[in-house]
Amino acid sequence: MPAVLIAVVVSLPLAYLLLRSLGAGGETWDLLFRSRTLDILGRTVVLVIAVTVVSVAISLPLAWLINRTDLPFRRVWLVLTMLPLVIPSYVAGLVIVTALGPRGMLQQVLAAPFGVERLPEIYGFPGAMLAIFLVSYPYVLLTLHASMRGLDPSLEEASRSLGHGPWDTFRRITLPQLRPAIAAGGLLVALYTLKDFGAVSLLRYETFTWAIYLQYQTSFDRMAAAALSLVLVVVAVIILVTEVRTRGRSQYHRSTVGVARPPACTRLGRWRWPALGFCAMIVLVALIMPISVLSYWLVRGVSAGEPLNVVWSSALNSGYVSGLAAAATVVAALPVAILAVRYSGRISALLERVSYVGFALPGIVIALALVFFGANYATPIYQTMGLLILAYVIMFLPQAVGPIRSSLLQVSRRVEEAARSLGRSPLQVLATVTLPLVRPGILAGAALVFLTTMKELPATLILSPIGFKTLATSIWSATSEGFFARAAVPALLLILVSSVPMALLVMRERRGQS
Amino acid sequence: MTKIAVRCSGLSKRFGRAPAVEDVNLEVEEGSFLALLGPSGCGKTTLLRLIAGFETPDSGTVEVGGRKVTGPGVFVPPEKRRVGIVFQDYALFPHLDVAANIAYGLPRGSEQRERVQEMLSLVGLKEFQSRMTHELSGGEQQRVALARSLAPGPELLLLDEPFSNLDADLRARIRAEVKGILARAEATVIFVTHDQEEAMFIGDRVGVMNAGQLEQIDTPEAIFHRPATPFVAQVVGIVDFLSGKVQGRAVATEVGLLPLREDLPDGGAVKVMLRPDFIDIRPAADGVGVIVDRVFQGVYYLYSVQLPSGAMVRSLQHHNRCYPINTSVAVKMNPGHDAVYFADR
Repeated sequence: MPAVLIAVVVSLPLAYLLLRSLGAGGETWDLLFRSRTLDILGRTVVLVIAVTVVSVAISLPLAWLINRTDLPFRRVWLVLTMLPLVIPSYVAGLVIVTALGPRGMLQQVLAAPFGVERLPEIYGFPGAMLAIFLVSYPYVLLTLHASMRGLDPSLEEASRSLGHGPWDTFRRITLPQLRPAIAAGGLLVALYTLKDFGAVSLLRYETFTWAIYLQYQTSFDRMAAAALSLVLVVVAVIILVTEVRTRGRSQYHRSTVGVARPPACTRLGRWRWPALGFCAMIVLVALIMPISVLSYWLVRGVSAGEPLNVVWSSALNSGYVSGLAAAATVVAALPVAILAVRYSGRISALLERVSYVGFALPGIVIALALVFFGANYATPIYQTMGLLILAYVIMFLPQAVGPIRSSLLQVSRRVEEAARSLGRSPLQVLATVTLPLVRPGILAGAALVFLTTMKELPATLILSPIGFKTLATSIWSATSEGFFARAAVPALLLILVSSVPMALLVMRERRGQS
Repeated sequence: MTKIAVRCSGLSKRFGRAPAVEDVNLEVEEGSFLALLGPSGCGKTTLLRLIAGFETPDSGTVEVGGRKVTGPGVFVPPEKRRVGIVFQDYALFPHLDVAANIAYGLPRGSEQRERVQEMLSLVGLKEFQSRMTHELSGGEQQRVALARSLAPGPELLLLDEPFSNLDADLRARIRAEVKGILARAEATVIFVTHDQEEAMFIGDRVGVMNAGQLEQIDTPEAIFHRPATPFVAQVVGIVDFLSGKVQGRAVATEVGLLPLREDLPDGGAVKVMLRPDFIDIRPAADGVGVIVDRVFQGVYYLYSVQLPSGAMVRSLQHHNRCYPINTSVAVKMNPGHDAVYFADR
């Protein structure tokens, strides 16, 4: 019953979109097919493909070096290369504008010795691509790490014994086994790029999300915004379907039972130095550059007498709202996960699918749908924290359902039945046995939702009660007005606070290994 | 008169089209052990789950301690049945220590501690009470599972293949331990297994299941010596079947006339069940059989002998009787054994 309610609430935005588009007049449909819309579509698709391809191309060697070679300090690289996940795309965008812009910090460094007057334009495609790539490639890395650790070494040994060399074996045995991980990671990156709002609008690359926002902000043309949103959703669904197709039909599992052997380790020899350089370069650009640029602005701001006190309230608001969102999302995810795992059937499968709506719907679309819903049917909660939290729940539900679901799969049904036979009612069993056992999944889900809520921008911008500022909106407003120094403090704080749940997640991963 | 602890009447359950349990009737007296024996997929675990209340039957009733718990319009949930269950994988609560696992089914209060201590000493795990369950060996985990399900004093205890997770060399010892614990607890037990030796060792009575049906339920001796169907005969030990024809008070077979004590219609075709210890073989140039296989089992050799019709019989011989393969042998029945006859259709 609670799961049905959650499914209905979650599918609200989709219902709104359809309603709006159906009610739209002929002109709106004309708008959809105007060349400008096609331009936006083209730009969006190019960006999505470019970011995804580059992320896979960089993550594959990175994951291989960290998992399968004798690269020095592998654990350190593992953590450092994952950390950019906590940086919001608009912060990456801000850093890129100020550091790599035509007259940015890099140009100033190069000016004296080399006489470089101007660097090439960074606004538009190159900047947007770089910014989104830098904060989203860890998704591919994450799935690849898990997959590489689970590889059965005897398959590779069998290939070697059948006369294939190391490179041939990698291409014909290892790579096909990594395909599901590449597809899953690629899916996350592609959807992230499609849904991203912060980086594209800061770097002035007009994709769907930005166009929808402009449409909404400038003309309040809800119909046109809804129609554009619908196209965006269609693209998201196409990406989801493509991923399912790429995953292929073959099943991937260990062919042997028993204790896993660690996979063979490739000796790098003199290739060690280029390998180290490669890892160092990624960390330098994705992690060290943003933090040092932000620190530079912070120092400049403080020395110019910039007030720091405003930021603390935003930080508190961010933590508060993210905590609430994490709690609410976990509470909503529990019945969905329990239903999907324990009562598998057509209806529960459908409910679980519906809960994945948040994967396909960009934050800006969900936010607009809720504005419409709140303004028309639920005026008491319009412009309140409640509606904002609801948006987060809809967006991030899949992130919480995932880990809870996999934790639940590890809890034997027999354990619950044993508790029943010892005289406890189903609800008591849930409280005393099931919940304590899925606690790791609940914590991981909550950490993930907390992390993403901290970074979330479009829904927070549109749905926040008036006067409610978070770190994300502070960074956004400071940056869009050009006060980079004012954005530095909240950006650094945001990265710092997000690192806590991130560390929790990485540590959990490490424990799962041993 | 002894009380009936559990009674199933006309119990049936289908999964989709396939019947899992079909028209099962059984009674277990208080304090006695019933072993349910059958190959995997014969429905014995489903029967157990029907009694525990984890499945609802399509028809039939279940009574526990004289109270109807499953039947038309009646369904008592598992937690109110007073039926304990020990699963194959023990299903211990991994987040609780040994004492907390045992205390789980007990009402809170001062008596809880006492009862936990009582159960711990019953299963001999007093020094392990604050260990976590994953720190215990398989046999110890099993004793915790037993103590946990016995603690609330159930009317009936169900054991689902409790020894299949243990190494073969441990199994015999733990089996004896468990039987001792259950006897001391004066528990009524239904025990599911696919191992005939285990069933005969534990059960006061043994029920043999095949394709959802309870083919026979009787003492271990009766099941072994007087199986009701050829299936039951096969489940409890090595058997061979020969065709025969009734001739008055005897049955004519390839290995000669065998004595017949029952009344069977003269001239009727029968199937004769023989066990390896019924059959004696001696090398003879004009013997009816030829040795085709010999398995050394230590004290005994088990010979497979082919008869002219192509049928096989097996014979158990002391290890000092070693005959090579392809030896022609005379085959006869040892005195003092009764072959079992089934009507041949």
